[in-house]
Amino acid sequence: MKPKNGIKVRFQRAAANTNPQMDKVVLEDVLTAYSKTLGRKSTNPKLKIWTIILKSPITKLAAAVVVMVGIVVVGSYFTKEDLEKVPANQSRSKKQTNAITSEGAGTRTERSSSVTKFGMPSMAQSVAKSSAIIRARFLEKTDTGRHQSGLILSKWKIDVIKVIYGKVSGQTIEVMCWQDPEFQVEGREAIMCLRTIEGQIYGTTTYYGSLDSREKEILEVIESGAHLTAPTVGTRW
Amino acid sequence: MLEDKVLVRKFKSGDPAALERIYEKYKNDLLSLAVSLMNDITAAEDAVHDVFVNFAQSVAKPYRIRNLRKYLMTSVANRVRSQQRYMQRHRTAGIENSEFPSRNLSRPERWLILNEDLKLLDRALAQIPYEQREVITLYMQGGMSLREIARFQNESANTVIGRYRYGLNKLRSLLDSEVEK
Repeated sequence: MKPKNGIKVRFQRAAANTNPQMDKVVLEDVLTAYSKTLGRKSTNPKLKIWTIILKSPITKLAAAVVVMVGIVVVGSYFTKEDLEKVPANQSRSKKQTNAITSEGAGTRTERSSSVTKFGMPSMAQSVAKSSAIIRARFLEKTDTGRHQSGLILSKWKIDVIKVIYGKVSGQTIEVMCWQDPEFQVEGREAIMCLRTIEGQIYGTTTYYGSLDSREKEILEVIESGAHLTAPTVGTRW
Repeated sequence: MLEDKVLVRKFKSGDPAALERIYEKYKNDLLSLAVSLMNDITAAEDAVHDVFVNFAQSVAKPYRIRNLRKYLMTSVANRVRSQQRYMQRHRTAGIENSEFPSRNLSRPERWLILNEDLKLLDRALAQIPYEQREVITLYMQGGMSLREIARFQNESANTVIGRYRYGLNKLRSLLDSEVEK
């Protein structure tokens, strides 16, 4: 919107001049205020850093990203810590059990028939101070699943303390023991363990009921220690 | 514009010469604007004095000044507004005895010298409503666009255009009648 020329010219002609003496007085006031502020400014380096951060949108964004990453890192650290402290039904042990249940159930020999349930055998006491998980399964001559089991164990960072090979009713049995002090199988989890090949040496004979004849044989193998050397992975034996 | 950017950078880095140059460059424009808005020379001088002092103190503040001229013009308009609000509040108590800091500054001489055109314009502007006067002076003297003025007044662009049109018509008739006299 353009103003009429007359008004515009009037505004252009209208000018204020200043008294030079008063100019100096005002300028002195302004410069004094300036120097005082500069003196205060130099004593606060933190403000300068914040000034730089807040000035530029890029640095502001970068600062926000750094804070977010810090929160995520600290958060994940504490989550990991917490995971190791929580009860078994929420712990890594349960995750391991679930993983082996689902991932390790691919081989033919991992059937409910190979599930073992044990009391506290003397051998196991030596490897398991508080509790240990035993994975016992029958190996067949064509079985190459041992390799697969090894992968699963390494994937879930399970340190097998001892592996025993023995014969039960003419069949080779592989027993792996690993320790997890947090591993507490109860209720539904225990049934789940029975359905897969995880068992727990925890003095749970009474919990699971009495052993059948084949389980007694397996227990004898475990108690007697290793009989056989490990079969070669992927070969008939 | 480029000179202003350099001046602001130097000013922020603590160069008093830059502040002196800014003062010399803009003092007359700011005084013209203030006197047009206030119709009171003493109050206008005080407002501009305060604006310059606050500007000098703003060196420690983190915000960025994009357009120095507009920044200073807006500062003057804000200062005028707050002075007027203060005066309205203390009208019953008596303005002469007010405790507004800048009004109590004693100066031996007058700072501002108006030419005849500015006096005439000032008299005419005094007779139009403040909102219209603010739009016209910020547009004509402050070099601000109507959209910027709308943002400053926190009004819609149409309202500001209306204020400008009505104010301009009124101002024209007032100036014409002054000339006839």
